[in-house]
Amino acid sequence: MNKRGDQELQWAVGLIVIILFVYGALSYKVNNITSGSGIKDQAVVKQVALLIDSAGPGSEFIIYKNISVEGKKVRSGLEEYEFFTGLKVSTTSVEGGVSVRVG
Amino acid sequence: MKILFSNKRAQVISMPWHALIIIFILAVIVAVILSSISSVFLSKQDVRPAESVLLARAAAECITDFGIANKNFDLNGCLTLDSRNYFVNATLYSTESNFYRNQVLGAETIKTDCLIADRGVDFGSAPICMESKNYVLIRNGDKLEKGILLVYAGIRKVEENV
Repeated sequence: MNKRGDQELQWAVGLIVIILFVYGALSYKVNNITSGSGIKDQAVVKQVALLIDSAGPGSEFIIYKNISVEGKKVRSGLEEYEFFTGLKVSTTSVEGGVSVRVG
Repeated sequence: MKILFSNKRAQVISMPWHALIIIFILAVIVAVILSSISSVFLSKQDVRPAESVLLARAAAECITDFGIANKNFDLNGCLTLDSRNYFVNATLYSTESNFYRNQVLGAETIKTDCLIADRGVDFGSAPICMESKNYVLIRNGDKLEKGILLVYAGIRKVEENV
């Protein structure tokens, strides 16, 4: 192979290495962003608070996540969110999650 | 374009333009993917619009029973609101007589802030408000009168949602 062909081959290999590296780094970063526990905790506490607020007396639902209800706040990890319902809210542990009873 | 390419024998070789274009396109794709994913996953989920609808509905349910409103309603016995984050203004009036009753619960500054935000003034601590209008019947002695129940509900909770 002549010198010009050598150089083009080197650049092609270099580019493939760069593309693979960027693809790996991007996958790692995207995975980190989307699977962050803080994001899940925030979504869970807010959705559970909305569920409690929309639930009628006697409603019961199971959340397959480790949450707790203290006073008028739902907690999961470092995240917490307040609900406004005037009904009594209680929780009991079930396999793999928590059962929330409203009213 | 000349750059230094290090291999066993350091030498100066020319960078092909198509390589430069590929690297540029790659950088743009990475930037677009990361910014779009970050904007979805790293921003807080704002649930206040849904929450304000639930609050207005809860207040309306406190006052009415199967569409018939209680003339002497009292929201205090039904909703226990943290006054800093919630606001409810319920107005019940008859369209057939001069009956009118209004009750306010929570922080009235929330309504003021919502009115300011509605006028297009952008400020970071703006709460979310919504108003619901319900056609109800009001029991007046033995007869039922047509009436309207207006519920204005507001939620601040800025730090948790914005």
